[in-house]
Amino acid sequence: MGKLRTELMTINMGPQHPSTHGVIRFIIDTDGEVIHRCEPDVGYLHRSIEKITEHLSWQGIVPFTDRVDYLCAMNSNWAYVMAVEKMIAVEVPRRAEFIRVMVGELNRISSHMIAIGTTDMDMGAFTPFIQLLREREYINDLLEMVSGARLTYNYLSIGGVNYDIPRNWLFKVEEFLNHFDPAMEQMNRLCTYNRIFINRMANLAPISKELAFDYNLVGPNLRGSGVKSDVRRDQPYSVYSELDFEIPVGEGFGGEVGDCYDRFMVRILEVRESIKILRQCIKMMPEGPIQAKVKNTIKPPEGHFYSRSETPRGDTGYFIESSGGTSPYRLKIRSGSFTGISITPAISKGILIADLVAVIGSLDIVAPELDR
Amino acid sequence: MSLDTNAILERLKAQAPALRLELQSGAGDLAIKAEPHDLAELMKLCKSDPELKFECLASQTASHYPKTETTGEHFKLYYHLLSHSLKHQLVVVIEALGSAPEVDSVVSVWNAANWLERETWDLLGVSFKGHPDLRRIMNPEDWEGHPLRKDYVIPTQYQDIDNKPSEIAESFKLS
Repeated sequence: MGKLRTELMTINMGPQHPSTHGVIRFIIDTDGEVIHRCEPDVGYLHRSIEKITEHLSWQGIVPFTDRVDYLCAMNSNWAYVMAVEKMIAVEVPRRAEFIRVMVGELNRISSHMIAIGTTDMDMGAFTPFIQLLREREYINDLLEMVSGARLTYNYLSIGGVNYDIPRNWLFKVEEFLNHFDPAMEQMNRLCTYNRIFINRMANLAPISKELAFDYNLVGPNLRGSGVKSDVRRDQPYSVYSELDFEIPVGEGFGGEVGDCYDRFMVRILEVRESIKILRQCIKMMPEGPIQAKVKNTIKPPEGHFYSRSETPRGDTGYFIESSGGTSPYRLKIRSGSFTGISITPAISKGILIADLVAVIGSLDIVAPELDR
Repeated sequence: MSLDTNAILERLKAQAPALRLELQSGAGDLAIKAEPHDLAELMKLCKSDPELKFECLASQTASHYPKTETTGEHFKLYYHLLSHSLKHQLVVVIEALGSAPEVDSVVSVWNAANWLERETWDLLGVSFKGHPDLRRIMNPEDWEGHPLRKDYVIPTQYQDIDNKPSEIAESFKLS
C-alpha cells in the first residue's frame, strides 16, 4: 500500500452556495473533513452605497438604506433617519414614534423568522422554514398595508413616517399576534426543542464574552455569549424607555454558553419579547400628528455624528460627517453582519465543514448588509 | 461608573500626561483629538484602564479632505470606542496629513480593527503600520484607486468591461 497523502486541501465554498446566505465566499483549508483554516472573502455585493449617498439629498438616502439590509428595511430606515434627526434636532411626534416601534418590531420578527428558518433548513429541517415563511407573509401583508411595499418599504421619513396607519390596522396586528403565538410554539415543538437539533447545535463553536468583545459582536450574537447589551436599553431611543420588555441572553440552553444553540435560542426568545412590545403599543397608541415640521432642504450643522440603533442584526451604527451641505460629506454604515463574519476564522478552526454551515446560520449573516 | 467625554479626557490626561490630547467640540459629537504618533499608546490605555474599560472598537473610519487654498491634503480618522461593562463611549479623532498617510494599526488592541482598517485602506487609501493582512476587502484585488476619496474618478473601463455612462445617466449628472 502506498503512503497516505496527508497534506491540506484548499477548497472553495461559495460565492454561489445555498448555505452562505447570500454571495459570500469561504476559502477553506481542510484536513479531511476538518477545517484547518477558514477565510471569508467578501465584497461580492458591494454597491458603494456610501459613495452614492455623498451625491444625494438627505431625504433621498432613505430608499438606499432599504437596500442595505432588505430583511429588516424598516429598522434600516429607522437607523438612518434617527441619525439625521439627531443632527438637525427634530422632535418626532409621539404617534409617529409608536408607529415606528410597531413596524420596527414587526420587521424584527420577520427578520428573525428568516434567520431561524434558514438555520433550521441548513441543518436539514425543511418544514420549519416553509412554516415560518407562511407566517412571514402575514407580516408582509401588515407592512404592505402601511407602506404599500412588501420588502423595501421607504416608510420612515426624517421627522416622522410617510403615511398614517389604516383605520383597522391595530386590530389586524392583534389578530396576527393571537394567531402567531401558538404558531411559533408549534414551530418550537417541531424543531427548537428537538433533541436531534439540539445535539447538532449545542457546544458548537462557542464564543466567549472576551472574544465577542474583541471582535465587536453585536446584537443577538453578543447576547448569545451571555452579555446583557441592547441599545434599546443601554441608550433608550424613541419610546423604548416606556415599554416593558426583557433582554434575553444565552445561558447555555443546550450546553456551553455562547454556542450556536444559544445564539439561535436568543432569537427565539427575542421574538417573544417583540410580541410583548407590540401588544403594549396597540394599547398605548396615541392620536396626533405623524410628521414633524422639517424644511424641504435639510442642511445639518457642520460636524460628525454617530448614531446607534438596535436592528435585528444588532447595534447598527450610522456615522455621518456633515460639511453643512445638502448631502453628507461622508456616511459610514457599521453593520452587525460585518463584524459577525469577521469572527468566523477565529471560531471555525477544528470544526467540520458541515458545522461551518451551522455557524454561519447561527451568526445570521446578511450579505448585502455586510458589503453595502 | 459611566463617564462622559470630559471626564474621560481628564482621566486620560492624569494617566498619561505625555499624550497630547484636546477636546474637540462643535455641533456634532464630542470627541478627543489626538496626534497620530500617540494613537497606539492611547488605544492601549483606553482598553486597559480600569475606569475606562473600552473592550470594543465599535467603528473605525476616515474621511478625505483634498488640498485647498488654506489647508493641505489630509484625512480625518475616527475611532468609536464602546464599553459594555461601564456603558460609555468615546470618539477619538486623528488628523493624518498627506495624500497617502500611514498611521499605527490597532489590531493588536482589538481584533475588530482588522477588517475595519482593511476597509479604510480599500476605500480611502489610508495605510496602517503593523497590520497583519492589509488587502482590499470590498473591491477586487486589481482595482485601481480608492473610491471614497473626493478626487476619485470613476473608471470608464474595468477588465475590458465598458463603463461609459449612458446618455440618460449623463442627463442626470451628479454634482
